[in-house]
Amino acid sequence: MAEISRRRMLSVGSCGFGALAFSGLSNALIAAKANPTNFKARAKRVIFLCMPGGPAHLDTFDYKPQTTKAEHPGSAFKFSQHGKSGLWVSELFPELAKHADKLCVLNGMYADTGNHAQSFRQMQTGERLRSRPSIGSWVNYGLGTENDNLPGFISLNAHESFVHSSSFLPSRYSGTPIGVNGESMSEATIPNVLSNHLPKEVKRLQLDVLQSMNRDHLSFRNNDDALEGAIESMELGFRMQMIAPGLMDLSTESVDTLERYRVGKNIKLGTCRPSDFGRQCLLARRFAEAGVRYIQVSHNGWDQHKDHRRDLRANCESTDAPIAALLGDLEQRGLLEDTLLIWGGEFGRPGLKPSDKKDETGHNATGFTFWLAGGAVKGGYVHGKTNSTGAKAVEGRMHFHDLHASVLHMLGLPHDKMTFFHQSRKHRLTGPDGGKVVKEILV
Amino acid sequence: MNFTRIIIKWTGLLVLILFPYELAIGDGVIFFESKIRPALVKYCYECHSSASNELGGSLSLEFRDDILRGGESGPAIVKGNPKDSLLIRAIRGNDDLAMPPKDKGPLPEGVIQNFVEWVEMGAPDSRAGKIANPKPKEQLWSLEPVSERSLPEVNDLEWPSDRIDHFILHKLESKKLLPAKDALPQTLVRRLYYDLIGLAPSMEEINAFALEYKRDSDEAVSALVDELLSSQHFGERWGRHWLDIARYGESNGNDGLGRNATFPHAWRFRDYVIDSFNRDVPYDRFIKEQIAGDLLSVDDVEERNRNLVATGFLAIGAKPAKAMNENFAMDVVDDQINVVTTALLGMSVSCARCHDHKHDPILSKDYYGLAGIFKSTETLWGKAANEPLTAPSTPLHELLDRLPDNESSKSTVPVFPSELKEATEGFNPVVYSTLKEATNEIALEKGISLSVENYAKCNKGRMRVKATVPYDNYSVSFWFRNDTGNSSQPITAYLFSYAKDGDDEQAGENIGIGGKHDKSVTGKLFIWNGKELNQSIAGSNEIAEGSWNHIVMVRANDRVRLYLNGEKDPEIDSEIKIAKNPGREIFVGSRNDNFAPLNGQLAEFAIFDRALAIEEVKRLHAASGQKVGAIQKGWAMGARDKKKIEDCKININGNSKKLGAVVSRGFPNSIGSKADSFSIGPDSSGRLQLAEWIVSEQHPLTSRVFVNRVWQHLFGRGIVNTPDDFGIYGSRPSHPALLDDLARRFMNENWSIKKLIKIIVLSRTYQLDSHIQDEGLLLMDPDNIFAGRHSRRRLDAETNRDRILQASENLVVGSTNGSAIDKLDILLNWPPGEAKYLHQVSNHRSIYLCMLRDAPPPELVAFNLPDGFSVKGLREKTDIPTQALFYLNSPLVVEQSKIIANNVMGVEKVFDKNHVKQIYLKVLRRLPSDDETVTAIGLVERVRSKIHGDDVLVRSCASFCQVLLASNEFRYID
Repeated sequence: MAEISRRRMLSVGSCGFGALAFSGLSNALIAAKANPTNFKARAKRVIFLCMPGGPAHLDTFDYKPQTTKAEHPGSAFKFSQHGKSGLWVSELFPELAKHADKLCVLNGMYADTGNHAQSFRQMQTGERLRSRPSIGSWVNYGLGTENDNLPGFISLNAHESFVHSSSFLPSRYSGTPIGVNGESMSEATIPNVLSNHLPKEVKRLQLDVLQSMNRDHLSFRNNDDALEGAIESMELGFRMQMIAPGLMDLSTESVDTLERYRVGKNIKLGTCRPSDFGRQCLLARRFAEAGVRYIQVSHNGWDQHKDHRRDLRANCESTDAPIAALLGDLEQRGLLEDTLLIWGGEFGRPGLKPSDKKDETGHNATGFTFWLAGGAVKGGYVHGKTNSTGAKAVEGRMHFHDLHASVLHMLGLPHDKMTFFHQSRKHRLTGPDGGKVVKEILV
Repeated sequence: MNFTRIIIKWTGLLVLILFPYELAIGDGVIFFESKIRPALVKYCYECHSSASNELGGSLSLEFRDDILRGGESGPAIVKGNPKDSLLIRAIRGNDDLAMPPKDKGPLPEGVIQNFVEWVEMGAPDSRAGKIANPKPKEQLWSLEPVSERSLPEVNDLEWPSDRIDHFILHKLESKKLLPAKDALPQTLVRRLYYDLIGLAPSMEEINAFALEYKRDSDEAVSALVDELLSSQHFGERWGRHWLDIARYGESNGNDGLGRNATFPHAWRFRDYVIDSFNRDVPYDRFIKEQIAGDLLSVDDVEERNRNLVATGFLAIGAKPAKAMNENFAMDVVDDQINVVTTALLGMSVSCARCHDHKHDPILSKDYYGLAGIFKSTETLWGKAANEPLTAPSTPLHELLDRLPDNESSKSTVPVFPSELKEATEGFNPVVYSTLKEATNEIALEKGISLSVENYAKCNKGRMRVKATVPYDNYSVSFWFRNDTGNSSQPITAYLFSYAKDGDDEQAGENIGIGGKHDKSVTGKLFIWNGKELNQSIAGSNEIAEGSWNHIVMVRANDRVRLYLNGEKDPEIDSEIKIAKNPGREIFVGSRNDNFAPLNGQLAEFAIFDRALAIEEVKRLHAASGQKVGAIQKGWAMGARDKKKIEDCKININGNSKKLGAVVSRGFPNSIGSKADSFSIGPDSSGRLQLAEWIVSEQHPLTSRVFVNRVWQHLFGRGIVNTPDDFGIYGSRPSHPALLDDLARRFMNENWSIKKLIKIIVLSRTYQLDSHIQDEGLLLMDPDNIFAGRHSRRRLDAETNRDRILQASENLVVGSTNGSAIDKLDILLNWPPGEAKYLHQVSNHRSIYLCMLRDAPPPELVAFNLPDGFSVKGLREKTDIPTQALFYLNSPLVVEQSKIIANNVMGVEKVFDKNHVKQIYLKVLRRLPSDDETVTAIGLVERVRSKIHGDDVLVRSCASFCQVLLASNEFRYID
């Protein structure tokens, strides 16, 4: 016994795994220390509604009516004003429009490049060319998880590993992907979280024998952080398999809820691919309730070059009701005030001339839209603006670095101070150039 | 303070060029003093002198030499030539270099004119000196020559057994620490198996070793090491280490458009690496092959093929999408520069793509000197799934079964001499056409186009030959090239059909290439006589996609012979019944019903109304001027010199549209030996010289970096703990003299990797126990930097899976000779939501699993597998719950546990201590204690009482096997 307690002491002394694993707020504390100004967190978690491909900003949230005699590029769909705020929302989002007063629309977004690969990478990691930790990993690194039985960062339906990669941050901050290797999003789950080869009570018996063996094994070896870490990690994995499958089992939800989220409903049309976005959003809510810090859901297919109108309509229809249901549920549960929602893609698309038959669009990186909701952002509010054709952000311009800086700020993390030393220098999410916290969008 | 940065930056690269100073005090200097110097101070010094926080563009304007040397974009002025002087261009603000920065506003026009005049005058400048006194704060240790080291003093002269031990003990003694005891032989043998071959020894092997060890420990260890080094598993273990730093992957990885193209030929590089380690190819040679294998002279065709496959090192990297990416070509170059410098020199030059390196002595011009080498290199990655948005299609290296007479004629359209026409016509064909132009006797259907350059291009069409020949006696001769993957459709292609148009029975003669319908004939020629008789005879050679081949089929009564590429022995020689079906017609490029038409080319078609004699067949081929025999054995990714060799211009801020000065092709001499002897000729890319420069014994980094990597794999921690970074911010060596000593010994042993490993594992240091009695050592050196004990290590992803399969006796020995995707040139998981799972169940060692980027093998992914996007010299070792889930629930662990249980239990009805013993021997390779036996039996009994259904006993037993597979004792090596 004396042996054990001495080892425990040593473990604490040498900052063993026990002290570091899922270290809760430790990094946030470090960050706070580094920044003595009062940095009050206004959100505890993030749900990123990721729309890869470049959603057409002019046909969704950036209303551009015709302003001159000769028709110019603008919104090809009808817009109307919603809520008390009178926020303009496209006819393509009838359900989401009901939550207009919750949305903080950023119409002045711009990106460095109109190349999907690089812009998408920058949206997720702050860097265009090289492997860097994703924003979810930074948040996980900065805040840790609220729930020791679940990962702090879960990414659904990501087709690129850098979305959940922690890159040079320790891998415990990486995201746990759900739906890789092209699994159906109606079935995808955390890898190996479930197996019914043995009943639960037998698994418990197994674990008890295993852990007692591991402790015996350890007792013949000097204090070894790695071995202790493996013991703890096994315990954690065991608890995760007990909790996560239930959390992902939607059969306990009412028919009404499943219907509101459109769980299992898929559209397969042009660029719009099945993503069971309803299930993703409902899972996002359940993960948020359970204390997961950063959740990313994803609906592919916004790169509608040909058949723009048809495919955009399908993409919007696939995501409208699920997002509306998520917003409604978060509000109803009192979670919206400390959950920050982010919606957007790597860039926007140039506008069409509404009465023109032309139905083809490209990429527009010089001006596009993101929206935020929840946390402490202003609802029913528009920040930034593009010019009359929507091609270029002219006011309230925000780069991804500014968005990232603002998101970290809302979580109480100073983007300029939260760094990690790697390959000769300190790195941060907002890159060497840094970003700017946009205070105007905060309540 | 940035001042020190500047100093460091210039250290070791400052080549002092003494300009003939204009010493005369004349008008020029007066002009300078009165007009130019004040302007420089006023407008420029803020960012371009020692007073600035950071030198803008690394350009100082403070002294004459600074201006002449220039900054990142090249010299600031060209004396006498304002138009070509960057400084003048900048202050005129007419391109990207615009200066001063916009927010400061332009210079007054008068000042600009003064500068112009001054440059025209030859830029007289009285400011001698240089911005900084180049007295270095710190000479970067890794750039010092590898020096001869004498053995340090030690107190305990008895302890060391090798030179290594002197260095280690000296350090320990200086810290007043004592090394741990020697490991027990049972521990040592497991460690050696794990380190050298990645597998576990059996109980018998452990016991045998322990016995030998008792007799003569040195002899026993030495013999075991020799045995393990000569095992084929050695290459599988150490080859994987190399693949980590070669950023190996079998697909491109997501290119940003959601597209992830397979690399169906990448596996050849994997096998090349394994083979090279097994053959103990000297490291210097190994490097030369990978950078410039295509440029080395060869003795035989195996060597030729091997060298070409080796250059895959440069081609297997991940690439971003080509679509809308103007920097694509430079992205490919960047990947190559990165892998070469980081993997081999432990120093990344990549940052210098956009700017001079901030800390390490690497300049943009170093980067673009290398970039010129790789821009003059053609990278061959293949089709990239035929998705030009992803990456444009390139050729591949063609592997041959004999050395070509003329390398350049391969794979392109063959050039036939006029002699061929004469020879063919001499045999009185019924119809003959070169297929360069239309003739009356051959009707072209849709999808066929003829041209002089390409003969008949066949895009799923067919040709109808207006002739009839006797069913029982005729011959046909033609050349073809097939571009359809051999496994992409049920039948790859039909080439020839002598059957009635549209006849559903295909009664007649049909020549085709097998597809995936029947794997035994995939890619092989076959002859089929129609549904009714249904005889199908296939040849034995696989016809490689994209290769030109010549066939002559001769029917003589019931006998059919098919000759391939002029070989003496027919490819097919068989009795094939003659299908009787009047009204047959002759089709080329498809079957009679247009099923499986050829996608490719056809040339030199001739049909004869008699069976040609063997001499005539041979003559038909000989007259073609082409080589006899199967043309090639497959394809490999790789690199070769471009036809056009060119230097590269600096890309300002890494943008290929903003160009600065031209940089001659060359090496980053600031991080290597001064390399005058390796000059690059105007007609070569310089890759061979680059390789020679890297493996020069004078290069300070190459041997150190590799020796350190080997040390790290054997100890869990490198002498330099940042194996990929030997730069300013990398770790310093814990034992610098030891590192140099090993590097010297490595080179003295002719760069033999096996000898290096043997030297290290025979040292006493390597053979220490990981457990120590005196915890003082633990407190003083928790990270085991001084190697006073051995570090315990977790099985890595591959070894973990391999040893699980070994425990269940399911591990398949040997190479897969291919990959799950070696016939698939497609996009992974595309379109989204309709993905196809490409991994296949395999019991081969993990190195042979299909390493798809962004879609790694599920059995490995939880264990810090490198992603294949960048050099990974040191894998992470973090413990994450998904690893626990792997042991608790993964199909691999669950299934193999059950297989072990089945192997142990057989048909027995009772689980007893004998079974426990067998399970321990299989999994942990030792005998259980009595307590452990009781625990095991207890668990199995309790589980048995709680589960129902079939195989209760085996499943209960399996639950215990799973416990052992998940145990730390299994997962960690002492």
